[in-house]
Formats: sequence, C-alpha cells, structure tokens
Amino acid sequence: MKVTSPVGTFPFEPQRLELEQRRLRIEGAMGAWPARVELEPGDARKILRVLARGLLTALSTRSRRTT
Amino acid sequence: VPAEPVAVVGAGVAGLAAAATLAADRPVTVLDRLPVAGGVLGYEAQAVRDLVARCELVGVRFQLGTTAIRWQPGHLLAAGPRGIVWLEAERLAFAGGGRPATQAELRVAGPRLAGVLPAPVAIHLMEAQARIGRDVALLGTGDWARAAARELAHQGARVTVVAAPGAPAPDFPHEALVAGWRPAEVEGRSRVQALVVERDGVRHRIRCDAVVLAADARPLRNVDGAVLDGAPAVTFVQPVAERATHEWVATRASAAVNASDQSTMEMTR
Repeated sequence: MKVTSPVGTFPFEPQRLELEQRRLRIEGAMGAWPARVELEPGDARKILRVLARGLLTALSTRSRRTT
Repeated sequence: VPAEPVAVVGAGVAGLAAAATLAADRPVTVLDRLPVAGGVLGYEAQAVRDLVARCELVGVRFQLGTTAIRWQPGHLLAAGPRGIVWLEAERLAFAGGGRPATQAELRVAGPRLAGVLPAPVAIHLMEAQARIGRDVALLGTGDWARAAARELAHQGARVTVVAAPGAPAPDFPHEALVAGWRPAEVEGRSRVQALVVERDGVRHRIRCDAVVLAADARPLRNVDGAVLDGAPAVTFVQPVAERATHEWVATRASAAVNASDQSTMEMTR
C-alpha cells in the first residue's frame, strides 16, 4: 500500500488487524514511523459507495463497447 | 583510533551519496525527518534504491522519521520514533534539500494573494489534477520551472516566463519570455491579477491569475546551531544548481557552508 501526500509518497505496510467497538483498526508502519488506519462504519459505507460508482461506470462503458 | 563518527542530515540522493562515500572509513548515521529515504525523488526511485543498498553495504546506519533539531560540537539532538536523543557525531553533513525563494525573499512587494505558489506546491497540486491558473507567470528557468511548465502545458495554461538578469534561457515550452526583468510586485484583491516586473526603473505589468515561484534556490531548512551559524565541523552537501544559491549561502554562512563537491572532498580527507 502507498500513501501519497504533499510531502511525498510513503509505503504503508499493514502488520495487524483489530476490530474494536465497531472500528476496524489496521496497525502498521509507514517507513520508520508506526502508523494506524481506522475505519468506522460510516467510512465503510463511503468506500462501498465509491466502489459501486466505479463498478457501474465500468459496466456501462463495457456495455456501450459491446453494443 | 576509531575514525570520527559523522551524522548526515537528509536522506535524499545528496545525503545518501555523501553517506556511502564517507562510510568507507568512519561510522555514519543518516537522519531524515521523513520515514523513508529518497527525498524529493521518493523511496521508489531506482537511484535511491541503489544508493540505499550501497549505504547498507558499507554499514551506514539509518534513523528515518527523525528530525535533527540542534547541533553542538560532538552531538546532534534529534527527535524521532525512539524519542529525543543526543547522537554522537564529530562532524555534521547537512543535505536537507532546497526550495525556491519565497515572495518576501525575492523582495516582491504586495499582499499575500491566492494564486502565488511555490513551484513544489504548484507541481503537487497539478499532479493531483488541480488547476492553478490559465495565465501563469513562471519565475525562474531551472529544474522547478521546467517541471512546473510541463504540468502547466498539460493543463493548457498560457505561461509567461520571467527570467532574472543573467538567468539561462528556458529550455521548456512557454508562450512569452520576459528576460532580464526583476519581479517587483504582485497585484490583486484576494487573488493575484498581475505581476509587475521592473528593469532600470521601468515597470511592466504582466496580467496573470497565478504566479509560480521557481527561482533562486535556498536551503530548505536549517539545523539549529549548524548551517546558518557558521559552526565548525559542519558541511553543506546539497548539490545546488543555481548560481544564486551559492551566492546566498556564501553570504550567510561562508565558514560553514560549501558547495557540495568541495565539501564532500573535504570531509573525506
């Protein structure tokens, strides 16, 4: 995994997954820094929405090509 | 007698190259405030990977994600994931990178307006598909200006290059060139609307909706008590391309700061 930001692009290496109080916590390392990503139920809904939008776009493009 | 330990601040190509060379006959520790080596090139660049491998081969130690705070002879204070530590080092090689001069450093008058951006910020925004302007005044003709011009061309912006007296001609596409004029003032209300340039008391107004500062490179940062303080046993090893940087550095800290080639040689002696 990679994280891109105005100060540069860094690797993110997941090392441990934890589920706590409906929160998914990914513990890992961003280079020399310990780092953590936390996902709440609301984030999962946002990600699913983005994925669904992407999937719909891909499917409509494909069907336009085949017709 | 063990060779004197050296701390290299900055894990970009200049710092890595200096560390790899110096580690042949002395202990070397490389520090960088970012958590990976690579500096502006990024950790994935092949040149960076090669240099890191070379450093590891000769026993260079890395303390990444660690900010060098203060230098005093024999010791470097640093803060990182391991906490705040005094690192033993008889010499400090500073390779902390460069940045374009700010509006104030260029003595460009006028308020702080939206649309006046340092080149590294402008480049990052454009890489993220943000449009920074349609009529852009680009100050400088060096590497930053070239990279900004490339992104501006992708966005279809009209670019007017402002080249200071003595600056080389731009070797990248541009719509207009104002050579030999000094940027004097930015005008606008909340956003920049014009850049005023000046030569021999004559002023000329360039209409624009963005100004990209890409001229006159300066050291990006300092370690307190080191680079700008004329401290002994401190060497500036950042390669700098633009002549103005050499002049600026020479004026501010002639005793401590040298051009990269000379300084690396000096340290290896």
